Amino acid sequence: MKRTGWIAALCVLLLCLSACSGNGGNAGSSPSGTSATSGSSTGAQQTGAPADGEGAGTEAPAVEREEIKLPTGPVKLVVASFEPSEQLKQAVKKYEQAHPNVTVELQAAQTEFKDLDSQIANIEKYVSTTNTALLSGKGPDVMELDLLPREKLVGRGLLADLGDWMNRDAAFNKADYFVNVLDHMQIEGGLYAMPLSFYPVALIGDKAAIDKDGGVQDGDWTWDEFAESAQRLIQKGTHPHALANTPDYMLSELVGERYAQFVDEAGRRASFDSPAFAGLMTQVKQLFDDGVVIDLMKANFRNESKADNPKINTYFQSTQIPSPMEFLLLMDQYDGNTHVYTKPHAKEMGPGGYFMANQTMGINAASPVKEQAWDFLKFLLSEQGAADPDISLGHTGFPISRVAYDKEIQKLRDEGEVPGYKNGPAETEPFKVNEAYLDLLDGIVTAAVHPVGQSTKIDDIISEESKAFFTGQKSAEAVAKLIQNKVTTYLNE
Amino acid sequence: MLFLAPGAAGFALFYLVPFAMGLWYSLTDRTIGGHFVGLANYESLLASGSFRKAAVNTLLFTGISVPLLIVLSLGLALLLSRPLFLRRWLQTAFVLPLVVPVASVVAIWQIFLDWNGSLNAWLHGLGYGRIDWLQSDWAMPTLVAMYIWKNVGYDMILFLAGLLSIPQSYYETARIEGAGRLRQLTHITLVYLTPTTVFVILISIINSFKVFRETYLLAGDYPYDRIYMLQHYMNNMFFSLDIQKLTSAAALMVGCIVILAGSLLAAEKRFRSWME
Repeated sequence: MKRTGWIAALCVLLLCLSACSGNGGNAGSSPSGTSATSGSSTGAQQTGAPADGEGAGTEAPAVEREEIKLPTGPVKLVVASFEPSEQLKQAVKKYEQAHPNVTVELQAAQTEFKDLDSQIANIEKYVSTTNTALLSGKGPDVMELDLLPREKLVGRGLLADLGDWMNRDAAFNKADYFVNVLDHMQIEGGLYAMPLSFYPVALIGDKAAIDKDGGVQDGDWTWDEFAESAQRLIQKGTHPHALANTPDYMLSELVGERYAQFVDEAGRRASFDSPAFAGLMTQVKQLFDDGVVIDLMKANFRNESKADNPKINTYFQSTQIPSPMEFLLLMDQYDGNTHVYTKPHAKEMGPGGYFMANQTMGINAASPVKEQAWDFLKFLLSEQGAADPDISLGHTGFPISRVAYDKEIQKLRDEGEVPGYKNGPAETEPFKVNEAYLDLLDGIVTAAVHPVGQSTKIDDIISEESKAFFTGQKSAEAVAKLIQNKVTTYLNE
Repeated sequence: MLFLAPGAAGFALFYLVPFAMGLWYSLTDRTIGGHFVGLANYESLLASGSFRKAAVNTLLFTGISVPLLIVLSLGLALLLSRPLFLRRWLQTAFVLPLVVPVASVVAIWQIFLDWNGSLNAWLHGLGYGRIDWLQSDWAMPTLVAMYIWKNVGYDMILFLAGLLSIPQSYYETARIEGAGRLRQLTHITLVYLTPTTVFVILISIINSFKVFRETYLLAGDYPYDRIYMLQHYMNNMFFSLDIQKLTSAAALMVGCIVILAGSLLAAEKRFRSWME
């Protein structure tokens, strides 16, 4: 019995191979698959030849999980990134080694940073050439989407739904990944932009000082309530300021909380000329004028004295946590009294933390080698493809692979100490790992469900025009009128 | 015909074929594997408030700036066609804006027109309030001024050439018969200048569409709504991947230009046959 199974399996394998090469390197469905299943089920599973082609898989309402067949002939995979990270370059090399029949061409729009002007010009070129290529059914097979207009590409049906592939691919185990992040990266009901890593966004604060000066109710607070509490805190004055940030960020947060009040996208109407918006701008400016919030630029300037031990002069810090190690460093501030607070948010937002997706990748819907592209992407996502902590010292965010993250945490727990490292002039001391902080971090990364998104055109217009108000150049009403004027044009296009 | 072939091939390859493809895109619902949807794209285009605004702005700009430019450059040409102090220098000075690269022109205008720019500094010095030149209702006049500054020299040179081609004997005859200066101007100069004028008007209209380049570099993709031109609309449609609206807007614009140019050329033809 066992023997016949093996023979049947071998037959299938051979037939698959011949079918594939006959199709010019692309995976085709092999009609012989059905005979193999009738021969011996165990054998078919061992060789991994799926029973039917991919066409049947996508049409069926309940998706059957199968092993994705890869082309065996030479395959050329084009991967585009604006400026490939060291991690991506390494991953390409590793992938090519593991798959000798695949050549990966890594296209970069910029190889080194020259100056800001050429950077902006390069970005514009990258976006317009990639868009044009995609629209004409060409373009890279896999591309980095951080700078591209994701929603619009999806709206035009130019990206492949990776959620489909995740469900279909028997070799993909969703539980190995941060599902909370993946599930909330959806656009129009599908997952089109896959983050390779993410930054949890958190508000941390000096608990001792805050409790001493009256405490805060952070359970379900809005930025308005945060501002009220902040004003109360700095009256007591353990720290001179409540938060360091930029005026346009504060304004965008406040506008975001009551977005529907200002923008009616369906009705194509904006209400930025209302007194409410001018009021918000004045409120933000007041926060900065009173020193409740200090301008990030000035705050950094003050801290330049000693790079690795800056003096913190705010009750709260809003941070994107770049790595577990950095989280440990953050928690060691405020003499160990650091506490993680809820980020202020709109009341209707619901519970859960915030994250910022990093290095989102997508697959071209018109790619002729989608199987290979998905396999490559899977490799990037996986534990082997995840950021090597030795590259750039792990400052690339948290890997989307839970397995890779767990390994990194386990390593920290086992070693019990983070070794000091030298990076140019900066040097850190080795320090002890506090396991309670790592438990806390686990909670943060698994509860992050709200993406902090790409800025929209409206955000850009608001932040650009409001600068003149925050620097005292124009009145709030004049700026509000300009924003209203431009946003109306945008909404009616 | 044979000698025309290379030129015709180039024109077909770089203009005619892409335009035909654009026309096809404007009738389908997506760029690859699209279906024919008739005029649906044009319907949604005309439903867009910003497109209508852009069309009105473009018409308004051309309608104001071209006549103004023609009158000014003709006046200058008449002035400079007779012996005048420093005539050659003045001619050169008027043509100079044409040869300065756009980037430098834009940089100077930016310094000049900015909220904290030179013009506002002078206004402030004179005791007036500041004006946001490109972000208020002053934007359109500012743009007209920029356009005239840039094109007046070119048009003037064309008019000067036209003036030289009018035979002096006509003027002599008119003078002998007792025609005054004004009569000479309206009955000889303007009449015999008509072919030149038609050509200058056409060139000026085309150049008036080119003002987008400066506007875009000065005010970005979403300028004050008064100077939001058709090209802004098309550019933004390209970046939001809405090729359908982009191509139908382009097709409409080309249609209008063809009608305009056609009627101008027809008028000139009628005029010529009337002359003979």
